[in-house]
Amino acid sequence: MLLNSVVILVREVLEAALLLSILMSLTINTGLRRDWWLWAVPLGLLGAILYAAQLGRMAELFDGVGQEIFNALSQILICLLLPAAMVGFIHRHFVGDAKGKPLYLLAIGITVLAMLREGAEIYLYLSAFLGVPEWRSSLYAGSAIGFGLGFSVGALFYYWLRSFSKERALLVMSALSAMVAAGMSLQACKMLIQADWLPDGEAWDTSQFLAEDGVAGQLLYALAGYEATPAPVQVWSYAAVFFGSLLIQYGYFYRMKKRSVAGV
Amino acid sequence: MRIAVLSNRVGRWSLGLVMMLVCSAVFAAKPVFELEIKNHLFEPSTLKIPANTKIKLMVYNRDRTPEEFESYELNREKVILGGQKAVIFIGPLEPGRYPYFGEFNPKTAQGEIVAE
Repeated sequence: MLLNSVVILVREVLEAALLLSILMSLTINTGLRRDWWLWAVPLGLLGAILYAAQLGRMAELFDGVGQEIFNALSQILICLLLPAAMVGFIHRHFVGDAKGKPLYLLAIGITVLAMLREGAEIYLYLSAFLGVPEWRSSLYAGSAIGFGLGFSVGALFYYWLRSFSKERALLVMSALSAMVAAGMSLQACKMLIQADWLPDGEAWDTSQFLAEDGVAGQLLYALAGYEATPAPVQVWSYAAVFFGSLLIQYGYFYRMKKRSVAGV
Repeated sequence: MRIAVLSNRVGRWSLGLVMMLVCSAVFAAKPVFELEIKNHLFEPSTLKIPANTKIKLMVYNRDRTPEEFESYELNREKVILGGQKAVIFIGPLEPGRYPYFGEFNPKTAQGEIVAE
């Protein structure tokens, strides 16, 4: 029970922690405050508990695949909002007095969406098994360790991102957020395949080289949506979202840079 | 006159659409297989399904606690609340063995799907 709760917590916390550290370094880099997380995290927790409470009802919708559809929907939303936020941060970097409020709202919205599914899973797991007295202490210890691990990796990542110069950090984070967005689209496709809304298949199998359930596999899954045996439709959507958002973000970055250089 | 033509056209299109949906629903009847979760165990722990066929897997969670059906080999994960059932579409699969487990009780809740 101890090891299992560590694994569950790490897996679920890691994804949100990485996203949160990207968004937090973006707000700081563009001269905004970082205390928006004080809104985002409690709202995310609240959302996760509501999500968990409604899961039974949601699961029955769409002929029994409601869970998949709602999960996919939240992932597709992140896929769309993340590049939008990135463009907003790039804009603010070059136009210093651009409004910060929409960016705060986007950062909070994305964090809440990222916490919904994973948070609901943790909540369901803990609330079900904390009731068993002999498991309680190992559940608490395991969760603390798991949460701590996920949080530490997120913090390390945050300070790594903060170590770049402002402009380079924007470029690095553009690439990272394109990866996260693409990973989300890959997961959304996985859900829609499971619901039989999209066709299944196997584009390749890299489980021999990098197992999904290993440490490196889990990290890569959280950051880039790694899957050892993706379906063709997952590969295509990953490529489309990754290159699409990269193109938009980098295109906007260099256009603004050119303009700012010309302005000086 | 124009409206009549238009509504006629809309009617014809929607009739076609309805027929298409009905047909696809009829032809899409996939073989159904069932699994049960009892005392954090999957029953049966080995489930044989036809290879190269999409199937509809019904998982009944008879426990009071939730479970997450998870498989890296099948690329599937779904939370099933206590006392509820879940629909999971699987395949078409190449012949082979595909292990799955319950993420909340991975020590006991293990099984595999054999496609042949």
